[in-house]
Amino acid sequence: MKGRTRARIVALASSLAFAAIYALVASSDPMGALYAFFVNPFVNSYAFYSLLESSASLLCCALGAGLAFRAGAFNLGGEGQAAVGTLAAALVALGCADRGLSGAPAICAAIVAAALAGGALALLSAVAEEKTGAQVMLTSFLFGQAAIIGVNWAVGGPLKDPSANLLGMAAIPEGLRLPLLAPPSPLSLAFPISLVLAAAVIFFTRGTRAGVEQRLLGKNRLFARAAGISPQIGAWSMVASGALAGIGGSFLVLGQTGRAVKDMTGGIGWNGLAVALIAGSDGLGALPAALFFAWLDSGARQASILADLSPDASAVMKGIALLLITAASLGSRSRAKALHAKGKA
Amino acid sequence: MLDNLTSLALSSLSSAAPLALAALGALATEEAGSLSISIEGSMIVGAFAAAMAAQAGSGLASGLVAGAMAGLGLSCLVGGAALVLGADVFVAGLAANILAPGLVSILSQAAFGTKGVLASESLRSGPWSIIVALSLLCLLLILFLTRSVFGLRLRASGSVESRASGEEVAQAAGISSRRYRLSAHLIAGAAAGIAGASLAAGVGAYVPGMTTGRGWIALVAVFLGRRRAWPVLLSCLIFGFLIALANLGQSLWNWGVGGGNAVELLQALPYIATAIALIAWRRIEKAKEESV
Repeated sequence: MKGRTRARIVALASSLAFAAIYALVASSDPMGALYAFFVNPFVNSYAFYSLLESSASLLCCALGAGLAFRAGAFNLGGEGQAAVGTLAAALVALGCADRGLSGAPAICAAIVAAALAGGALALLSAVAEEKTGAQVMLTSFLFGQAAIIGVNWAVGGPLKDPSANLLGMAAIPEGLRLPLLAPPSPLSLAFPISLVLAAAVIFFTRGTRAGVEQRLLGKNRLFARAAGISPQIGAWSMVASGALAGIGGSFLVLGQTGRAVKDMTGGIGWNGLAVALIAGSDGLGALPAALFFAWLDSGARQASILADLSPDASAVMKGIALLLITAASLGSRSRAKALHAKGKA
Repeated sequence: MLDNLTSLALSSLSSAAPLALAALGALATEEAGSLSISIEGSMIVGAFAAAMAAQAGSGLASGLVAGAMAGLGLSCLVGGAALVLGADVFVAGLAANILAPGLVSILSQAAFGTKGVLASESLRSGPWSIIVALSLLCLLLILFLTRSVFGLRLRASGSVESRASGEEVAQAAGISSRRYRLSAHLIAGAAAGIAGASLAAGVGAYVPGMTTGRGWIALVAVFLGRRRAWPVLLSCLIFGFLIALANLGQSLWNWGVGGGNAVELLQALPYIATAIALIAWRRIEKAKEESV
């Protein structure tokens, strides 16, 4: 455990070191860039609240990726599952608006629809694996890509709001959006909801029988079968994984953006997977890891506005952190040896 | 009609060639027992490096070399983290895929002041020259993997048939499996880099997001082709044909649906067809296992 912590510190420090070096080399105002990156997201309340808001969708996707991961499945379709979530949430919210419905029940219906859509997409891969053994890792990606193409087509084509300039559906009316907690900042109810979901996932994984069975299934499928654990837990984990990604997508539509637009998931599925991997398989680590990623995005954006840097620096920083996070020899020597003994690549 | 058929054949080959080279590289890592996930990232940096090299006015050959170097560089990162520092090879590969577009964007902004399309006319090449160049490279790679001593040792170090004992077998024969795995990752990175460079050469520009998940499709092809070189190649050809079919359909028909053209949905065809093929193939194989 101690080794793992050390590896995490080295990984996160390397990622921040890259930011510092990049600011020093590429910016005409290095000190301003460093301030914008490291300090501004925390002293500027608007920036801080936006950071929290964007961590909400990310956290949901990460919780989902983590759940599938615990059951031994790599869900690479998070991006597509979030995308169908955005479409479902927008369709239900606009449908409610047409019928004059608004308020909490209508918003809940939109979020549930997003969860169902994401879950259904993940179910395809889960069923395929259970019936034929086709790897979830491959089918979830393929179905996800197809879904993204379909959602982009629908949102930018037949469902497009003809009066809007952008490729997107009509704006969600005020009464159907997630209530703002600190206007004018974008912080909405999405953030507290994501915390509740995180608590629910942690309770499931640590406090329930099914959570333990899920872990056993992920660790050793043969042993789990011998112990009488139903492989269906694996399929349900995948469905829950897709549902959480779908909810993450719905937060984008019902919160920050206020409408479904083309290409709106912008990598939250992949970033969610990265957050889950950095957090390790316990749900507890997902919140700090999601906040860390949201901070990198926010800091890089601030630095790009206030000092002439690329906002995409955050992608490099995430990559560096993820590249080193599992590096055993950055941790204790015994862990490195253990890995080699296991013959892990 | 005939015109459409020849253009369909040509565009199938154009789509399949980069995919095949990337997939054969990935096959090398799978045979060595540690599949490279970073093919997509290597293709992205490869495409960008080719466009960057072409800013100096160089043509296809040096573009492909630049792509190979860039892909190699990225796979050095992954291979180093995984095989030297002991990181999980899957996680490190995923990291490279997240890192690659960010790195390209930073470099592009620093060097050319744009994060968008990087036009590079001198790189633009006709489909035939790209297809011939990549086919030759594919052939070389297949021969290398199946006929050379290095290729055989590579397989011994991963020994797909008996993964558990592969390492022991290799060690008994005095082969350092780690060194072979690292070499396999470098080969895969270079191959994917060239594949990416050829995408940029096809349109004479680097366009952000131009790989559209081809690196992942290359990995699917490795599984569809049952980890054998020629079937992997065939999987790539079929996928290339599906892409070409979707493109042809888009240029021929227009089924208007409320302001959108439903034919655009054909773009999803290659992904859905590949998923169905994968599932169907696994099902057949499972049925065979059960009957035995």
